[in-house]
Amino acid sequence: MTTAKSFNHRQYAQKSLLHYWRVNLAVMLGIITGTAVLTGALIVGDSVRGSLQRLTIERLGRIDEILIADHFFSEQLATRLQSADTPLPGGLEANPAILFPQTTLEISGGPGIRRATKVTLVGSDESFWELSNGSVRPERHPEGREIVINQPLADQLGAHIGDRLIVRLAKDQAISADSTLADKSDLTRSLAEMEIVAIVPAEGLGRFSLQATQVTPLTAYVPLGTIQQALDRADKINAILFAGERADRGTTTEDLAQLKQLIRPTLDDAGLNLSRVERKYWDEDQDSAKNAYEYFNLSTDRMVFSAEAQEAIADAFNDMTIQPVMTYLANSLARDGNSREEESIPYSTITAIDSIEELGPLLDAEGNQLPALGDDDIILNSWAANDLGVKPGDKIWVSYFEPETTHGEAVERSELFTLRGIVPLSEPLLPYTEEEPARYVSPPSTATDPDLTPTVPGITDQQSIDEWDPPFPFDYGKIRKPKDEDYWDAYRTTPKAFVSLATGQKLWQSRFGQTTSFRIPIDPPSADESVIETRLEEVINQQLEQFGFALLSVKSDGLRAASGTTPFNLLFLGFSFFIIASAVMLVSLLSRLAIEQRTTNAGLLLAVGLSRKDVTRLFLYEAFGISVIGALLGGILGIAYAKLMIIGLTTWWVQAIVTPFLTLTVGAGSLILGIFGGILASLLTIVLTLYGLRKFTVRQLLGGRLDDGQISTSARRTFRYVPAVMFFFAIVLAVLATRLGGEAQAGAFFGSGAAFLIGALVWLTQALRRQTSEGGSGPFDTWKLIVRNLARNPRRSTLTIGLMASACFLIVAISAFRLNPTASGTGGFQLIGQTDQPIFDDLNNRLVREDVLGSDHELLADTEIFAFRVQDGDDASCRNLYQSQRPRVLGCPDSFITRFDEGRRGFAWAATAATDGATRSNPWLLLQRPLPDTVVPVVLDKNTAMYSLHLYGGVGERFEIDYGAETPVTFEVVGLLSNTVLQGSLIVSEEQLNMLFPNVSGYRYFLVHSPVGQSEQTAELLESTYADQGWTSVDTLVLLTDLLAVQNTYLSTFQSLGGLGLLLGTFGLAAVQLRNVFERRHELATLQAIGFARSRLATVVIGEHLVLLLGGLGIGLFAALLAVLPHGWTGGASPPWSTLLGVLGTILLVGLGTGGLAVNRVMTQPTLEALRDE
Amino acid sequence: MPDLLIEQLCKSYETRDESLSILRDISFEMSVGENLGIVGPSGSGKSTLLYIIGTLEKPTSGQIQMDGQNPFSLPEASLAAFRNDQIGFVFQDHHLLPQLSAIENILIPTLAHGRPSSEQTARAHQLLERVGLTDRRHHLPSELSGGERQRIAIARALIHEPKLLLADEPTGNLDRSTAKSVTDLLLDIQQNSQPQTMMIVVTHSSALANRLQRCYELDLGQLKEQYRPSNP
Repeated sequence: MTTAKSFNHRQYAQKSLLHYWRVNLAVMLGIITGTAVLTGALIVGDSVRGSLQRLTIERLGRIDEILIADHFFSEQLATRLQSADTPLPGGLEANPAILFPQTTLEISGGPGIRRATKVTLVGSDESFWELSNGSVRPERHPEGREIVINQPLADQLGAHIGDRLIVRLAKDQAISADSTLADKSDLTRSLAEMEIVAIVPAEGLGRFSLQATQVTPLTAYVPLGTIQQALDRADKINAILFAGERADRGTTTEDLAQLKQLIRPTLDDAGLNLSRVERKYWDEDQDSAKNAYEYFNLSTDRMVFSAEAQEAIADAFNDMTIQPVMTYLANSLARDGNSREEESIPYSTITAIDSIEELGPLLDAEGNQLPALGDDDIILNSWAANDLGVKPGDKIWVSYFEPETTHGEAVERSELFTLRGIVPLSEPLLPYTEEEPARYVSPPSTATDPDLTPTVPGITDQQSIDEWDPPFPFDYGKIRKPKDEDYWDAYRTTPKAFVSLATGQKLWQSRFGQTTSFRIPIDPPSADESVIETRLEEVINQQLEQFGFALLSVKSDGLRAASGTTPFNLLFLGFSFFIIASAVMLVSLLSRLAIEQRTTNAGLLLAVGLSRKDVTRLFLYEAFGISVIGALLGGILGIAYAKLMIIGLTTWWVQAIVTPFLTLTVGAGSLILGIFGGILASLLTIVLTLYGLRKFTVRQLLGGRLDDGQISTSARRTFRYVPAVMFFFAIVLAVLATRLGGEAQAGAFFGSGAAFLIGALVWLTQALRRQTSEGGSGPFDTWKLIVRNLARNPRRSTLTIGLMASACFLIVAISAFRLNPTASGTGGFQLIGQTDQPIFDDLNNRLVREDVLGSDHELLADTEIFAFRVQDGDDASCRNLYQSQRPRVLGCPDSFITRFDEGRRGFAWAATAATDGATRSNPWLLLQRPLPDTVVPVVLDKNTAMYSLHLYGGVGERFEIDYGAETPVTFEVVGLLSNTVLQGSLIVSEEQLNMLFPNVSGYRYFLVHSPVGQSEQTAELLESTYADQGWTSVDTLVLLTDLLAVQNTYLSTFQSLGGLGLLLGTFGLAAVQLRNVFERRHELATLQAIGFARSRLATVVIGEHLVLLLGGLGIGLFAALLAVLPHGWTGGASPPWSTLLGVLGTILLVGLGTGGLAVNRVMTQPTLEALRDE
Repeated sequence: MPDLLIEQLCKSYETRDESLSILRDISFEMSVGENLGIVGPSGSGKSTLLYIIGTLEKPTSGQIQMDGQNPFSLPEASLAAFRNDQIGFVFQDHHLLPQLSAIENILIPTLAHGRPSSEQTARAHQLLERVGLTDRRHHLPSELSGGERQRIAIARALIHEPKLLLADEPTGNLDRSTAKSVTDLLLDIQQNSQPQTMMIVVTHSSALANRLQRCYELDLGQLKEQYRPSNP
């Protein structure tokens, strides 16, 4: 018991809280609900982030960094790093591995061949499993021809332990297959008869993958030695896994910087070859071997240095004279005017070089430099000049293949030169043999240098021309025997012709580069390679990316990407909007009822001399108590709400997150934020309610009657025309909507419905106020009584109807934004094909089809196939919840772009940068329009732009993506597609992709347009034909439905939770009704006293309730139908009618049930007591 | 200078169609120790006049002065403090707070200063004793009879020893016997315990009115002196 001495504001608040416990409990329940939903939504965000982080930690274990290369390098690099005297920073350990992110696995037996594509293949030793964060590991690591696979892969293949698999992977090629000089056949390697010895669950490293995605990866594990043997790459690897001490964090910036300094790949690791070229002759006078000339020769396994590597090397040696060389293959050298093939020289190397004094090679017989060559000048060696019978001033035709191929087709070109000079060629005493180089007895000329030509597998390593196995179209018939064979024997790859470096690079440069070797003078002559080697190694280590290495901070990037594309906390706050709104409404309504119940208290306090501030403070003490307790309980309940949402997301709404990976993660921050948010929101609501009391006088408060039916004349005048204006807007927007398309149309219909809703609600308010002021018209009957009763408190009535109507409207009308797959979403294509390994065939070429498909080619007679180049990257579609760091890039061919000329219908555009008729008619042309400052024009789906890449600037926005090159790529949005199957990728022109990613070869993404009813057969045919490359086809409608399902599922979530909120709102409605009945208990008792039957009174009360309930639902539903139905008729929306009717039906039933409470009160109220109370 | 001066007080309300005049040129004055009654038919404006004098409503025109000070010239917070300090109210409906005990209800006005001082608490106990309800101090209003509630309300009105005690139908809800005892208590306190307090009582009760020193009748918004005792 409180003593009078301790009586103060706090005591007052405590006593009030307890005394009015019923209504306070009701308010608190509202606060609990609101806080629970708010906290729960934040926890859902935590859970998504936490689950994505967990997946990242699981799939990578302790692996923090991965050094991965686009070529093989020595396993020694990993061994050296692991065993170095200086331990790696941060306790990192280096583990050698071979990683293939895209392989195809096949299993035979049972119902045909079963295939799994996009499988990550890990070649490692047993220590790989030590890197796991958990205990998941196979019973034993595979040995020899054994393989371990993860459970999802086993499920997809229907494979069991003991089954045997075939693994198909890309053959390692130093030279891009798109180069004319590269081998384009036999591009895959197979590991056959691999016996499954274990199946690991998709946990820990059992879900190892380089891709940051929540979708469970398909992963297979083979012994390192087996894959090295199969690829003929003994002791070679293509990745080093750096594992830290802890799984839950990545390497620190400082440790990463230190690690980069320590990697130091050798020249061999970088695919560079540094050799000392010494052209020796036997000096008979001195009876010893002497060098005619010598230099350091730097060449690359890739045959051509990439532009970046060339730049890095040039920078590193800018204090020395280095001589870039570009040697190419001339299909023929011929004198102008002589068209006879037998008088031309076939298959000669031609070198583009600027001769220098130290090394030549363009020196005359006296050793003097020949004049510098102009653009059209050529020099022949004496053998070629004699063979052609030409002299300086004669014109020489040089024919050659273009250095790059499209679909593997070599294109021959010719160029006319003027012969400016002839360099002597020194004939050796003894020709080349398998063991020995040619032998000279006099100093060979500097032009007698086969080392000017880089290594071309299949050619430069052969002893005779007969043994050549060239990758380009080669006509053995053109070889003149024995003349050409004799040249090969005596001079091997010595160039027969020379042009200036600029000319050669202009003609034969490609996206792969423009320099085949560097010649470095030896100065002083005693210098050895080590000086050059050290300098080169420094360059390589400083610029790993330029030499084909990438150090991927997989852990840090993965954890960062786990922040997600979509802020799920905000998303679920939005979804829970109606529950929160209903809770706030309940808190507002109930606190208003609570305060109305105590207006006399407030009046008395004011009357005895407490200021309004004091009185407000006293009420706030109570409110604070209710809010804090309510919010604390709500916070705890929020965890349960979040759990419920997660259950929803992993079951009913799983399409929104693609795979049920979510687990509950409760962040203290979210819990605190939710609770504080709940306290703040409820206090604010209560303060606003209290603020409403300010307009009442003490006398009114003491009297306990707060009449809100009055409205000022000016306000009445202002709002008089609002309904008419809103109805007009509704009609205008509806008419306008019929002329729009897509989401703009949905938006216009939505706006039309909303305008009608506002108009109807304002009209209703005015009608009720008219009832108050004018008494209305018509006979006085039960209906009149109901209307007049509702009009007693018009604000309360319209607020109730308005809230019900708004909620009902939004829940139903949001269906207008549901998306159905359309032809404009598929672009008119029926299939999308994707392969693990590139395909070089031109699938639209009839001859190629006949060759590849045999008799089945007829099936594709009316089928068009557009092949896209692919730079692998993250899936940036809405199906990947990770924040995309490097989205996949598709290079679309010119044939695809021109397909849409003359306005041919294709993909739907949301916006384009088209400025002229041509681009307006075919916006794809914008990809071919160059932009200043090497900015790359890009087209992408607007969902990818908005949600994944967070590009809100629309067309014209520029953004940078770091693809590991020296500088990030700057893109400019020139077109946004609208809800298409091309979601998730950046689309550039093929030409741009070739420039940005020169190492990408072949085609791996295909859009297939096939005649109606043939797509299934087409898919089967292509999948079987390109099984080795891992072709998988997907029906575009199925894919689009899956993509749209994400948005549609979100809408369903919103509607379901909105329905829950509306349900909560019906309890508010019940509270209003009970209050109405309570306030009118005297009147009702009087009516009873004068002869009204209780049933008649119940009819009046339930009538009022029904008007509020049905009025709210009816107006909302009608407005919603106005928004949805026309859109539905035009095919834009297909609301889930059954679900919606179920939701609204439930609300109606619950609403009727709660109305029954009010009726029950009337039926059980003791008349006499109520009258006495009066 | 009188201690309470009411001069040409008018009050009218704006309705949708017209201006409704409730009080017209009301003037009178009082000195400490005086009491007076105001009688009149229902709706004549008696309570309105009382609320205006009690500073709970503002007059349309005219003025009130207590000790030469016009309370309506004060800002809102000061006006509340003035009311708290100078005026005590007794209502027909007693308006006890149902959640508080008898002693706490008496102490309610002290909450304007945060918490009651020990002197105020002691005074509350004295008042409780004065109204004869010492043994009921911890009882809630719902546990008290109508007369007891009104006694508590009287005690509450006197906690700050107000200069002006205003009573609006203090016996209106009581039976005759209880009404008499409440009337006795009011007059006894005002004349003996609180001799410096002026008291204005609005009432329908002629029994109560007749026991007051002066009595006015309010009719059609105008005040008519009805009764003045021969021996004040």
